[in-house]
Amino acid sequence: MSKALKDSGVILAIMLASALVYWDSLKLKAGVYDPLGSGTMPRIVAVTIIVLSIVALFQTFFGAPPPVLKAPGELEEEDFERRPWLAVAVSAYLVGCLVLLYLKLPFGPSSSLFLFLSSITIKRFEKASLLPSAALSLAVGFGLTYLFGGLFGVDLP
Amino acid sequence: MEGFLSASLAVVSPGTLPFLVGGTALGVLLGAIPGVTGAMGIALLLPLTFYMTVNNALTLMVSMYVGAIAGGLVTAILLRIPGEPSSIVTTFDGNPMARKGQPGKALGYAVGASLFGGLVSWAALVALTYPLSEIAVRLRPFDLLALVMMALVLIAALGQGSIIKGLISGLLGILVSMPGTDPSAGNLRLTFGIHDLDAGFSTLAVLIGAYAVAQVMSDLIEVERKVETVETTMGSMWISMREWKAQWWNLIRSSVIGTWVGIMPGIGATVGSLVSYTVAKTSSKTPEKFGTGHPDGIVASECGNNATVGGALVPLIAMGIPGSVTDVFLLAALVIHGLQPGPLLFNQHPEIVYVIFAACLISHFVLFVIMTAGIRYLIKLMTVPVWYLFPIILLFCLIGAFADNNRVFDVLIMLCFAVVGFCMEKTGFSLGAFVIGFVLGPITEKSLRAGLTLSDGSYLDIFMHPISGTCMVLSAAMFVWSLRSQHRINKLAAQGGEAAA
Repeated sequence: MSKALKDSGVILAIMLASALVYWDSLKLKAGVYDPLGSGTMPRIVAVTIIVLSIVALFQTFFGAPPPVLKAPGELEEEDFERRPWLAVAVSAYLVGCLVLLYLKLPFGPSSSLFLFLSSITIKRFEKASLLPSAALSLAVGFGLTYLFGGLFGVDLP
Repeated sequence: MEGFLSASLAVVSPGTLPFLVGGTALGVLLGAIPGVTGAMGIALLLPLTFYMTVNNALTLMVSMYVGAIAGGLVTAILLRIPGEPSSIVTTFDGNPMARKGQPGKALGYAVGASLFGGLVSWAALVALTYPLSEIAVRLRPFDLLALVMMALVLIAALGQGSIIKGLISGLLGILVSMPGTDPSAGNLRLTFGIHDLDAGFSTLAVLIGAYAVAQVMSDLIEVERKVETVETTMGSMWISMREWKAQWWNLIRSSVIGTWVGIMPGIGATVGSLVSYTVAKTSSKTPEKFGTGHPDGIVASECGNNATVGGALVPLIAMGIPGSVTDVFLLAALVIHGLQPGPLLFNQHPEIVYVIFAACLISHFVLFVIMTAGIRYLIKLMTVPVWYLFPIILLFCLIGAFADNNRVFDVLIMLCFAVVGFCMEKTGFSLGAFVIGFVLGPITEKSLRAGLTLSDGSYLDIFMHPISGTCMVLSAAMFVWSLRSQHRINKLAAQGGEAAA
């Protein structure tokens, strides 16, 4: 997908969300003691966002991208493999961890499982990384449970 | 003076000192790891502070802030990897000097300049906060509104990327702060029938989701990124008095610039170091030496970025307006502990303000000791693979979002805002402006409504008073200037493209 299309998709989503807020704020009526009402500010902000979004949309297709500050060692062209699916997979594991916690599995095992799956996915399921990942995941998962729950008294999910 | 001394004694007491030293060391470590910023570290540590005393919590966070800004210099100089975005400018001269066989000297200049910049900005913090808070108490609601508007325009104009997108980000942050119970009228709004939203979005869930989780997701995608590193060996960090004497004007000028940039609401250390570096280069008799390992460049950059720390704390304490993204998390920490940053903080809880002053001062000295004595070990730690950190950070995020209200709903909100933050970052929207807009949203609305009530509904009143009028004119000028600059860059880029064709 081209950058312009990605940008315009996000801008349109922002416009849609602002329009939704504007529509919902129309239901809010001003009171006798508060002539401005609760809906004025959301309406002002939503309309401003929509107007600016139209300008941003125009810039997306007709403006040049602004220069980015880079370190001297940073390469102009990317010579590494991007792994967007890794972010998707780790997010899915996080949601999975949340589901396990919702099903009353304690934090220690749930978080250890999340850490293990995430780390071996990052390491592309290399056999050599399985054992260290498992050991580290168990140590960190149960260690965090003790640190937060036992030592600091923070309630865990 | 008495209050400050007792706060200093409290900070160095056996119960609090470990938080100061630990916070500074952790800040240095996080600042040195590329992809993990100090702001993110503070966000992740917030839930740990729930059950700490206010003194310990603030000491930990302020010292982490100080440590993180300086932490980025180690990898920036030795490996040409800026640990913090504000260290990018340090790589310009720090790394070439290291490659010339003087890594110790480069580190010596950077560490010394960091301490000097930090101390000058601390002096400004102490000198300016009280008078500014006295002025802030007298500000009219429209003055406060105009200041917030100016902060948002400044972040959008001086940040990287399009000013329009920057403004949209800030306004979006304000919009996200609105659902829930209207603080003025007491009625529910924009909850779409979801009762978990009656109290609005959890501050921590939004901040952690949009800032920390989104950043980790970005880093995960680029986990294979290789930066050309230049490893060097350590040498002596000793810089003679004669060499420091040659830098005296650069040190003072960069510290003042950094402090001033820090005081301007919403702008962080990156701008501070960049402006200091640019001024040092343009006013130098030998500008051609910059970028080749010139000490002036290292001193200007590190002095400039560390000086923003004290400066950025001024508007936070005096007006409740965060001076940088990291200050947003400090503000959240204060609110979590039942304190409202702003002009009344000095009157109602002076002891808290003095603790912040003391922690800021002492942590700069602790930082100096850590950086000079422990730098060899720090470099060794930098070679440890960081990929395993990302899932651990996500777990911290999960705990932090849940611990705010003990609700799974907040974790879901965190995940939603992670997606929002990720999409925004990838398409050039400023996450810094978004989180600052989010925390400034309630002040903005309160000021607007109170101002309109006082002016009998006249919006024009905002231009009729000196402070609000000046801020609005400055904001408009900044907006037009930024648009013009961008237009000029676009034109040059188009001309370059035509020439290439």
